[in-house]
Amino acid sequence: MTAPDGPASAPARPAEATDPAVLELARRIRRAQLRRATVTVALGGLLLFGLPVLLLLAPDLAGLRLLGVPGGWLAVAIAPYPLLAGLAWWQLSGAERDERAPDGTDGDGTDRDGTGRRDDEVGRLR
Amino acid sequence: MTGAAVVALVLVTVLIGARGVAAMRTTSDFLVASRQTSPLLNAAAVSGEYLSAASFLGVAGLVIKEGTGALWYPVGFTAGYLLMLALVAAPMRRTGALTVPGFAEARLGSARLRRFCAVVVVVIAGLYLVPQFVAAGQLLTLVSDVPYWVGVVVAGAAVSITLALGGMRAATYVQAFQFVLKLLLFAGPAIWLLIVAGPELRGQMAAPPEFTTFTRDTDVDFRLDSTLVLPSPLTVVVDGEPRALTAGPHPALADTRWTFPAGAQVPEVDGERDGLPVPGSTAWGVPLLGSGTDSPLLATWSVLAATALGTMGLPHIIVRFHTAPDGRAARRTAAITVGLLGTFYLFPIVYGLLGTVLTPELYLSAGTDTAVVMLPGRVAGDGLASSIVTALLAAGAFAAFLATSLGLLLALAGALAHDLMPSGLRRLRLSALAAAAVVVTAALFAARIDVSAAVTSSFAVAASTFCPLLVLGIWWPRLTARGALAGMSVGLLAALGAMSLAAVPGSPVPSGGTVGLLLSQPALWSVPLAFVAMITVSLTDHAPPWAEATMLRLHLTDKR
Repeated sequence: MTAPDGPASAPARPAEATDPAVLELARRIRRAQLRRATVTVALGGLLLFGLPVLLLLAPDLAGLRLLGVPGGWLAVAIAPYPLLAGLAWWQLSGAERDERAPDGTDGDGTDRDGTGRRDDEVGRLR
Repeated sequence: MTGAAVVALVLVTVLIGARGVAAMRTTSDFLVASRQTSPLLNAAAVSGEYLSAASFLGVAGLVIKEGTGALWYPVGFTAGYLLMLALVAAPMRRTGALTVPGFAEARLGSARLRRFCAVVVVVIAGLYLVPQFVAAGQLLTLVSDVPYWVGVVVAGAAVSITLALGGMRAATYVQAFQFVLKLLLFAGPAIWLLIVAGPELRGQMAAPPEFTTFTRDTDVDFRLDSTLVLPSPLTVVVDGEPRALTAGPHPALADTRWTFPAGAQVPEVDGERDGLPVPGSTAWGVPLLGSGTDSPLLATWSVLAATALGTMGLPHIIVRFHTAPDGRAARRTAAITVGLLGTFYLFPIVYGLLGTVLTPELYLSAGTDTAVVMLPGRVAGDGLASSIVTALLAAGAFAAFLATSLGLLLALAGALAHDLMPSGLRRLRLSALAAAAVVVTAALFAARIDVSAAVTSSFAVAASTFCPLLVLGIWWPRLTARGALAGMSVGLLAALGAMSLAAVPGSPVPSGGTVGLLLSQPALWSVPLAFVAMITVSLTDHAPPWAEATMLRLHLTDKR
């Protein structure tokens, strides 16, 4: 944030028509990624917003004790973290697969031009 | 003994910070070199910068004060990175923008929008910084017996010195080291406390006794003027002098020590505990926020919405993702961060439960944020071991304060000096020092706030402004600059307006009810409102012809 970040002077305006085939590929990837992200966010939302409902509606369930500690406390203090981590893992591997899938090539992970610098700013399109 | 050890360790922490500053490079060096950062290292750095005094001290304090429902806060803090991973990390990285203002300009091509975003950055960082300084001030006050204002000023001086020594952001590996340090200094003492506590105390942790009478002679140190309401006449020792008090309200002045005799009934605190459960009571044990009010579900959801949706808009975190070499590495960074934070947040419950058993009286003096550091002495007595553990905890908390505050101050200064004014290194440093001075002053007047709860207000603003901007900017081609501007203005005004309305003393809205809750925790309605405003205005506007290609580029793997 302290740096001249991105196109500070002129706004990025990739005005020229880009390769229609590339744009079509990008549309496909975006759709696939959006679908997956929606599922992940929905599952995460279900966990975060559903668990409080469960704890409210079923106080007996929350009263169950595990090693002497009330289950409701563990359901808040411990249980969400492995679930969130598992969801994160699922989203990550899926998103990387979606990126590779369309034409079987690698995603943006490799530095193919070998200069060690990557100009992946939007403004590059100009 | 403890005091000396803490002072030594605080010095070490500052030196670690300064060491990081010494490792600083110029801005552009920093950018290029950091492109080599691996996702694991970067995730540790993100966590190191993210885990603030609110996580280290605040969550356990809130458990004592508000009940086990406070454990939802760290769940929301962690879930924020799941959203970051799914919605923001990779495309945001591909814009090449370092900050949200930079992103806004790259995606929507409006310099006006960039400046508005910079204003929002200043608001978010300011709201986040004040509670950090409050926590640091309380911490120093506790370990060295100085007045609160001295603690805050010393904390401000420590930050300013670290800034002045070098200026720029700490290197990635220093932040990553900070995370490891914090995890060790938090988890180690927690495990030690559990072992030393013994079976009886561990049993009490699972069912803390209701705090209605003092079980032993109890000192309560008031740092602020408060009013206690005694349920029955009582003789209390105030600063060594016995004082017979009638039933009813009595002022307790700042910097006095009240000693309540064993067996006495616990007084109520006037005006500050509407709807909050007594520590150890049944309502306290219900794992929902606001368990003493009519709407515990809404209270819990509001905090979760604010923390989970606000994370992606935190200015000191976004910049970290730029140090990933590409979009994919940024995404991996976010995923690993979920795991690292999840590990750290397994431990606040230990401090929260132990604190409720051993130091419930802290809520009488609004001092629950100091519980974590007081526990070793309470569990193990005044020995060498407990002094060392106390010092380690204090050092960890101070490290947390320092790392987060520096990141935020630089984000704030960057927005001021880079986005709002002509750029310049010297100006950047001056802006950071000026911002520190303003924040220290604000912290002096804000001693009463709970750090975790106050930090959430900054999340609420981030969620109501930057969350819609980022999500729609990345996934919706029809977003326009005017729409973004309108949506963010609506979100900012709604969130800030509601929270100030709830915070004003003598506000007409009762703080315990549902309306009061929705005002003090507005994210649940202010975020959807901002989304609706942003979409509606964008639809009446025309997106420029290049808009779709600009957006699609963010999803494209970098082939040429």
